[in-house]
Amino acid sequence: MSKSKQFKTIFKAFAIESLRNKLEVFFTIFFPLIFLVIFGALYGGNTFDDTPDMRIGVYLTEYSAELESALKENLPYYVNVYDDLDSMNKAVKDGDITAGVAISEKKISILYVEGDMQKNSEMSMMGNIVENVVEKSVNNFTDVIEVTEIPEGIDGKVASDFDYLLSGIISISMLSAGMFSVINLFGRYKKTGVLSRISVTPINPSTFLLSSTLVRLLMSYISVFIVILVSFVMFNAQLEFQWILFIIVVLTSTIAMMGYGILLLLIFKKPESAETAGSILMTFMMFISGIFFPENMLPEAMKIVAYFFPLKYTGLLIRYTTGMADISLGTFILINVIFAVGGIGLVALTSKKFLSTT
Amino acid sequence: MSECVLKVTDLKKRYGEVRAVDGISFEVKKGDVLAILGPNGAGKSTTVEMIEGLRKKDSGEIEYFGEKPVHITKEVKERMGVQLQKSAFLDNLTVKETLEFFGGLYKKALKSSELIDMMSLGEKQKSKVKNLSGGQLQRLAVAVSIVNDPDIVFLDEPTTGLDPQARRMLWEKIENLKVQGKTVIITTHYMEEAEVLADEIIIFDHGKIIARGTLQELLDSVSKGKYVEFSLDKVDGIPEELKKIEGFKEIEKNRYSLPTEDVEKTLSIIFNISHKENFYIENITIRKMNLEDVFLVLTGRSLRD
Repeated sequence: MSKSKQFKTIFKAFAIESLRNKLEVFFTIFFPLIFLVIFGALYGGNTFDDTPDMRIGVYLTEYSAELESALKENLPYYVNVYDDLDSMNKAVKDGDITAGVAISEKKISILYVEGDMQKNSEMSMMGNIVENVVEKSVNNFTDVIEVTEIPEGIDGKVASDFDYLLSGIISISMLSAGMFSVINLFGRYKKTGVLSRISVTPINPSTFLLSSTLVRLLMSYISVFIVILVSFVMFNAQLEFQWILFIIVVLTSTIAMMGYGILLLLIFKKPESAETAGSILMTFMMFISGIFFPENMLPEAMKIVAYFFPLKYTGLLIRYTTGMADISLGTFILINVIFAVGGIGLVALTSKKFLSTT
Repeated sequence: MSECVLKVTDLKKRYGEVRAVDGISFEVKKGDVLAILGPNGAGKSTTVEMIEGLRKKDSGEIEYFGEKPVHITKEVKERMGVQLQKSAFLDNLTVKETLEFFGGLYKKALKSSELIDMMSLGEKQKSKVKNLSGGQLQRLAVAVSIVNDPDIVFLDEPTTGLDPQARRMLWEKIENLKVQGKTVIITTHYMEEAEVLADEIIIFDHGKIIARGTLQELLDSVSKGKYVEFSLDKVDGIPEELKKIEGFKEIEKNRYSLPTEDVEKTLSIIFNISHKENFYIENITIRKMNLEDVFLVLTGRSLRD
């Protein structure tokens, strides 16, 4: 019996099974897409540029053409000037402008509809900026030093908030495709007896392992590339991938996540328990591994905990391949090797255990 | 003399303190249908799973097609068909795809269309496995077990959980295997299944073989007689004289049974007692002994206990 025929047979059957399994397709492909759409809607195309994104109203109790001109030129917002306070207030209430600023001789009042904490802080910052501009204009100050912000990424690339998130979503996609699929393959199929049924055929365990996990890898690649495609088409992602390194990272990271799934199966025995533990761990990892926000926002203790979870390293590798993380090539190679060796070792050992006699 | 395709010698398997299989020995000749009969937990499935290579034996020898490998080999698996007690396949594959999948794992495979016709699964060939009924799933399991055109087929409780109609339909399919000259080993706890299908029957209990032979040999080993079964018109108190007859047994509420080698004589005794004690005999049935009775006599328990 040629191994290649067995390989093709298993690959085809498991590919069909995976693509027709709604739960697996959801967790592998749609689950990361849901994250992408949610965060893409929030941060899509948000780069560090000078384009004003807030419209405010200004009412001057004592009209000054110079002050009006200074405000329009210097405030980092779109500015509408109102002739009377009531019409500005109405514009705030109607949502035509985010805030109204009433400027009298010695008082600046800001009117806005109360919202969340972020809005309160934005209003406070705006008050300071307006005060600064008014004082300079009234006192006839000119800028002596000009401060220019030039965000500088690794290799000169500037990543937007969305680009940062995209690398996180790709990491989650691999975690989901690797971890849950292996729990399904070795846990559920063992429990239902599918593996026993297959093991009474003259199948070579290594052929089975290779072909069935290759299907999972393929699903992972499909998922990752759909996420990237949607990001570029719908959300104007700016990431520049070093594709060869990226493909290697998807491979090793998915294998590592498979190993992680196996580890959960070994600990929890029952596939349902391993799946629940996987879901909880995935949520936990997403928040401590610098996936959705930079790690430096985390408390010190959480940063240490993150070192024990593979998602942190996956995120790091993905960012390296897109020029967003500054790690050495040696570190990049080392993490990939550990991922590949650890993942393959765990999957191989365990598949032997699951396919062997009792 | 037919070729011996399987020979098991002093096979043992323990789970902790429990001797699941305790020194089993038997052999099967080419073309024979052997039924392994016994109650749940008797060690039937463990024995068969050790032969199939699914479980490790603690000790003993298994000879396949005249050879004694240390572990079951791929060559043996190529010649062996297996239907496990729990029929599990990839849920989202269709019947046809499932047969093609398993066929693809063997050197030699029958056409899926041929197997579909053989097992009357034509209408369901495009249905996903998860949408099949219990009977259809069992027929698929039997089809998969012969996908490689094996020399020996193991069917582990193939009709458990099926309704009588589905069971009889599957029996027909298994009888066809017999006609094709396949060696078939069926484990079952249904005595009718063993009676209908098997050339030879082995009865297991507590991990040991307690009887072996053809159906007739097993029946003769216990008694050459029949059973007279009857009810009484009064349910309060069974006459003492009846109770004293050897083998008298209450098989269910107001239903009694007496083993006999002379039906006329036994009936005459019963009617005499009824006349004397002033009650009537109702619903008299005379039936032959069956495997259930053999098991009962050998173990003192019913097969379904």
